[in-house]
Amino acid sequence: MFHELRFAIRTLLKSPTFTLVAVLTLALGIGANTAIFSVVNSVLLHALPYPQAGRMVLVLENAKGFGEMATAYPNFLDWAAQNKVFESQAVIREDSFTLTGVGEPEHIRAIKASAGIFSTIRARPSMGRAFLRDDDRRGAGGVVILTDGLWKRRFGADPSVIGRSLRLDQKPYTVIGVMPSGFRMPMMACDLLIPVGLDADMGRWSHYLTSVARLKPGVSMAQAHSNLDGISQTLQRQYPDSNGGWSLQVQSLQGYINDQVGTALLVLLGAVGLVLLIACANIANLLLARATTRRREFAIRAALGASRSRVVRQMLTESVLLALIGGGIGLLVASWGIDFLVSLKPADFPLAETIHLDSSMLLFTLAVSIATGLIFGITPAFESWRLNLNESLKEGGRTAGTCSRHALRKALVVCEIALSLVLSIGAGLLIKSFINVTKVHPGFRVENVLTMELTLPKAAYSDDIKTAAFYDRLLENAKHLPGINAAGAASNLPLSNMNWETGFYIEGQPKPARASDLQYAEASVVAGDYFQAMGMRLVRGRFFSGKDQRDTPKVMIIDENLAAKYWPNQDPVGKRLFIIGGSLREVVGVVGHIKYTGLDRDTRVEVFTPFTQMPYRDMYLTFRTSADPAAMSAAISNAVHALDKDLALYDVRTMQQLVSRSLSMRRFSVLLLVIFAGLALLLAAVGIYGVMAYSVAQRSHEMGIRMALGARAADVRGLVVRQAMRLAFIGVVIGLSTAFALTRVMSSLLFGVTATDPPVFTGISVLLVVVALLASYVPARRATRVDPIVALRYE
Amino acid sequence: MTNGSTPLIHLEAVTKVFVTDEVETHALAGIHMDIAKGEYVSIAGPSGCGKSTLLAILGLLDTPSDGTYILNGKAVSGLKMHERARIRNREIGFIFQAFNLIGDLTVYENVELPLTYRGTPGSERKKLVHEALEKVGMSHRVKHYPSQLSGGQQQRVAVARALVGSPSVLLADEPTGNLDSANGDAVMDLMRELHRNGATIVMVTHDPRYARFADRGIHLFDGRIVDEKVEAV
Ligand SMILES: Nc1ncnc2c1ncn2[C@@H]1O[C@H](COP(=O)(O)OP(=O)(O)O)[C@@H](O)[C@H]1O
Ligand SMILES: [Mg+2]
Repeated sequence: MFHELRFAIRTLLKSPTFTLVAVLTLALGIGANTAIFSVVNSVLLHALPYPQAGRMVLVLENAKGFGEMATAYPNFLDWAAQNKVFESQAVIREDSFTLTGVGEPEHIRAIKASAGIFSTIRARPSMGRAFLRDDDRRGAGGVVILTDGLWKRRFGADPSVIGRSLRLDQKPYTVIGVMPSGFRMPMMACDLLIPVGLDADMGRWSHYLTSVARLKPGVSMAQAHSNLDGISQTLQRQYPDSNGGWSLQVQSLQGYINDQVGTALLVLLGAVGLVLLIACANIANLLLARATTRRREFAIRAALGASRSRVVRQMLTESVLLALIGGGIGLLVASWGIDFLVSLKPADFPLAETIHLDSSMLLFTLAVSIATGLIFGITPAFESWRLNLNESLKEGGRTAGTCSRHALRKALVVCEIALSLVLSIGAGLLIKSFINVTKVHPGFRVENVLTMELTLPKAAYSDDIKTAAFYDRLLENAKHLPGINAAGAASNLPLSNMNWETGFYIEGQPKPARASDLQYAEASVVAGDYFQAMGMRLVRGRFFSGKDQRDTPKVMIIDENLAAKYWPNQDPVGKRLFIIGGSLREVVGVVGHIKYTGLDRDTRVEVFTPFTQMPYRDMYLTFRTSADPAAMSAAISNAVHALDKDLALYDVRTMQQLVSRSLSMRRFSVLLLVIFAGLALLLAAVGIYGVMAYSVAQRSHEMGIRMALGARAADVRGLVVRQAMRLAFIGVVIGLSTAFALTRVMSSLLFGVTATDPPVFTGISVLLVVVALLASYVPARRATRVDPIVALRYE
Repeated sequence: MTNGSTPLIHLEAVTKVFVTDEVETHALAGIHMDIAKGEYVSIAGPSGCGKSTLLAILGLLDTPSDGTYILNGKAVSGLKMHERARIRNREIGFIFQAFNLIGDLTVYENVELPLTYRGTPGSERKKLVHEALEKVGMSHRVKHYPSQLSGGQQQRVAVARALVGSPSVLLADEPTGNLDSANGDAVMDLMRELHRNGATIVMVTHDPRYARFADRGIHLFDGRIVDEKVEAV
């Protein structure tokens, strides 16, 4: 083995160009794989850094005909008390506050959690104590647990922080603990934890919490499911009004995370794997070409009594060594690639900030390198075996052209073409989807809109009057700022990851007996000139106006889809709807439908209620500006602080940014797949070039004969190009049928295009043929420069 | 010159100088030569005297360094690449010592090759290929590959390929050099037969037995014609 290694090193050093090309190709292939795999590793395999995370589940409430919904707190209390399958369970919810009492006011992210969260995720504070059952009591004293980050940032890592008080939205809280560094909550990011029970909404209609639970050891998902099913049936009987038609569902937490990003990541992993395979095919080709020139060496070895298996071993040692060097440099490529991936990180990508190279990555790279070395080494190794057998036969009569050995190299190139076609078709489908998504009209005018979030603290704005008065004045002042054309606000913005659903039914129809029979709509409360600021279309009736006040008749605006669904041939203006948990409201206007949850999603029908009749403390301010919206943020911030200097504005974004952010996951996968497809095409082009150049060199004698017989340059060029085209054609046919079978796995990533979209399939095939044409053109030109006299001279 | 008409091939003061590594090789040093239509000329001389170079120039595979070459009444020294290819294809038939058949092509396809470069339609190609193979006695082997044939058979196929397009002249460079004497004799008989039927042949050969078949023998030495004698037919 040592002997083989030494000889392998010497061989590689002897042909530095070959070694360099091979190592770089491998470094690129292996590096890209390591980078993508590290993302998959951290997102899919290590998304849940908790002991025995496999036992962690999500409990979802499920309404018939409506799908998964969040948990209502009283339901949680019931199933938590009654179930026999969970060791521990908790509800959590993301929230945000303005932190005061420790320096500058700051907007911070909080997670409200019930006391069970610590045993469910098996994490404890490193200092102080966790929440107790008692902290969940309504009316208990406010307590907080800081994350390590916030503790260091705002409290200077003060070791005596326990017992200190701080204010969240002006309410006093006491610090009772600090979580260790590296702690994170499943699926959500936060700066601190507060108990969820303190101000829990006790209505069974309010589905606003996420439930996490830990299965008892040995309990299966099926058992958990049937236990919870029994409980939900009891709840249905007990509370038919709110719980009728609702059931409970258990989903593994890991499975849930996989569903969120899994397909995209697995497609990328598959894609980058294909790139590596193509790289392997390329290097196998290089090695095969070299094996031909090393025939003499093998023959001599055989003559000296080397067994064939020894020669094969020598070849494999060389290729694995090559792959290991490639893998080593690949690690550098990977660490650079990971930085690149993180810089592209889509907004909602879970936990991407934790991606880094670790020991499991080293193992992965090592394994991939060895496997790669074996894959690309095996063909040439056995080729060398065959060469030995045939050695004596090779000195036959002189006729030009030998096709048998060459067939293997051609087969490799055909594979490369097929694989890069598959990859490029995948990329093509994603690009087309992306273009389709960007062409979707969101229902509002995206340009020149500035948005930001504003949260009024409960203490200072304790009632609706104060809240309404503040926003009234703010919007009135802002409207007159130079550069602002319209000023409005909404409880939730489209494409902002925040949406409310509300159940409703139409006046005159009987109230549905069960909650699951309700219709649901996207709901928002809007203030000022929100519709004008967003540039939404008025289809019928009117926008809200000064006429709609607290004490005037309750009104609402609906979208055209709701109108079309319930009053297809009538004027909806003047009709009335009953909003669950609200009141009967009269439709005064119909606006164009807007895309709430994403340009690529079907959105429910929409209802809008006037802020004056339903004031709300946390609003997204929305401004239409006459010029660059980003430039207006300072002026608006001043206007806010002129009214209340303690308020913190946050998430200042243009609508353009929100739209772009909503596309970031899609952009991420498109970009990566395009990069991989480009890489694959490049490698395939290099492969075609290599094989054709080699073939031209091998066939120079034949070219000479043809020229002597009167072949013109164009005939000779055509000969080479046709040969390349034949390979390309076979590759394309194989690639197309593979793509037909494979692109199906990515259908969930596609938008407005089928997985077998004919234009993409044909377009990419043509592209590949063009690439093959270009790659074969240089060798083809070289073939025409063959001097027939030189080629035909018989020595 | 055996008759008064314009010669098929007229060479005047043709020289060929190869320059390699600053060494000049005067492969041909002023060749004057006329070959009439229907003539059978043999070229002999020691190795390295310029026989193959002369044949390459006659066959438009190479250009003379100086001098004039008139083929069929047309000066061909200064032609462009594609015109030379066209003339090679229509006027010249090559027969090489090493046969130079294309291994990946069948006998039929090898013989067909010059016709495809000429754009002859398929049906006519088929007729011509079969006629040519008939002439060399190889029509029973059309589907074979060269590696499946003996040396003599390969050379007969090469002859068929050379004459399939009815070129003005057949150029043969030591066509029997790779053959045993029996096969060599057969190929030479074939050449004689072709000549009898009117073919113009220029053949390089060492073998005095075969040289005798020719109408005229030319002796080259150091790139010059040193002796020229007309055989008694
Ligand atoms: N392409 C070339 N470059 C340099 N020298 C050449 C070349 N072709 C032929 N020669 C030289 O020209 C001379 C004549 O060669 P050639 O015509 O092949 O001789 P022959 O066929 O009579 O043996 C030789 O000295 C040979 O070395
Ligand atoms: Mg010679």
